[in-house]
Amino acid sequence: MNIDVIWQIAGIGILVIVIHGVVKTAGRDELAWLITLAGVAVVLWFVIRVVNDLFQAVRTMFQM
Amino acid sequence: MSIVPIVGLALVAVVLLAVVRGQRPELGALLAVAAGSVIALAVLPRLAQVIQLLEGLSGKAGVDQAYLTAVLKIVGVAYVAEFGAQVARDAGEGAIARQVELAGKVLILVLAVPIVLAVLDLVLRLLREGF
Repeated sequence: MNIDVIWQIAGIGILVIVIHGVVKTAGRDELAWLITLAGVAVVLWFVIRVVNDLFQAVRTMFQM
Repeated sequence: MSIVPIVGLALVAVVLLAVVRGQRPELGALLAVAAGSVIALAVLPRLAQVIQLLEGLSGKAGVDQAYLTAVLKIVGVAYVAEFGAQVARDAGEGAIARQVELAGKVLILVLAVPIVLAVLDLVLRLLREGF
């Protein structure tokens, strides 16, 4: 079982929340928005790989 | 894979989700998808033994292998459609979840047509031969 990906995603999420807060306090709202977008993109990349693994497993298992 | 690590992973994911979802709902949705996929990936290989057993039983009973493949395909389509619909519903998109479910039902219906035809064929043959 690959639990690492859960830690990675949660870590990126918490990191994005913290950086977003810091940058927003510094008054750079557009930069904060960009950081959030980058975080979502990276997490989406991880999630797509996991979901791809799952769908491949379902496909081979149920002979689809 | 026993049940204990799976429940542990679910607990970890729930706690992390409670932290992340409050601030960033979009990251929470992605984390929920990843956790669900990891849990499903952990137990799915176990199903292979059951499917092999079913194949063996159907071979002994003389059932056409094509029917078993169709049933397995239907189970796969139902699982994937349910997964997608649940993700959409978790993210608050009930309308898209409904559409995914409807698409799954239509595809299952298409896959089931050969089986229904075979059953009707058998019934007609029995009626004609007069039991």
